[in-house]
Amino acid sequence: MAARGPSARVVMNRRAMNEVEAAIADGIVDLGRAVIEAGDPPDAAPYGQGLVTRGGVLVYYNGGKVAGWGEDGRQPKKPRSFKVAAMRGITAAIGWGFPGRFQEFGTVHHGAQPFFVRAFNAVGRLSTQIMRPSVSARLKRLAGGLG
Amino acid sequence: MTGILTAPMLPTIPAVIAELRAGATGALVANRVRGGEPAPRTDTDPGDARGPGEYIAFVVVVGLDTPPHPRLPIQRSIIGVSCYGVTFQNASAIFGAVVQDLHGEGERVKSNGLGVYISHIEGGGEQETDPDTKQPVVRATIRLRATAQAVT
Repeated sequence: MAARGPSARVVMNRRAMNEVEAAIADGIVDLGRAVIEAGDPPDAAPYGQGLVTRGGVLVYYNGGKVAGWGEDGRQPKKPRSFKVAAMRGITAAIGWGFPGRFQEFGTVHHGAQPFFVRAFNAVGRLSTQIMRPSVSARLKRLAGGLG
Repeated sequence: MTGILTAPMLPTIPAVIAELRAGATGALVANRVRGGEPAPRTDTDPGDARGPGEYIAFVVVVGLDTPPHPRLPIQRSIIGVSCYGVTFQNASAIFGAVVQDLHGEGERVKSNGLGVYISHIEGGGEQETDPDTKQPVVRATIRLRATAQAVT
């Protein structure tokens, strides 16, 4: 499915950010996307049905959504336990939907098959390189404008 | 051999299980701190995972990721702890005991020579139910910095 453009609310929320904050928010989307793409959720027959199939990234600024990305082109829903209303600054959620949590930690009848932490650790140490394309050019442009 | 280690990397899960059993957690769950999965049902024991009305408190410790440091003989272990309780309050109380036992615990050397620099609770605390038995469970994510080999 083709990705849609940002919603009016996202556009409005982004206007509240300065250029540096917007660059960092977009860099975080790139970082989250790299984590999702590096992750390898366990699957089993019937493939793609009822198991972890879709990862995504959501970025909020002062409680308002400013960016997002989903593996299938759709924006993921915000997890209920991820409370952003009172959060200040940039906050992000990166992960897979239901039942990823049960795959990661296991259940009483199902052993843990961790995939998220592994992907996050592998990608996290490359965060500077991953965020650089989104962030550095805009910061340079900003610095040039100031000079 | 030109690797960093001169012996197999030491596991961290047994150390965490031993510390939880010896601490406040063990007292709350009658030492039912398991590695990897709950105690299975046998002919004489119904096991840890029981149905509604028969819940018992227990803890399951699983390794999520334990990459060795690229250049030093240390490891950064991320461990998942599932605190199963009889009620949601009980599950949260067990989570609290896990925090008491491990959060901010500094240097110690275990009986097998594993040196632990520090352990922290990185996340968790949400109340949920197990999808199979509907038993209340609260999960914790622990980060442990430890030696990869025995400290002599």
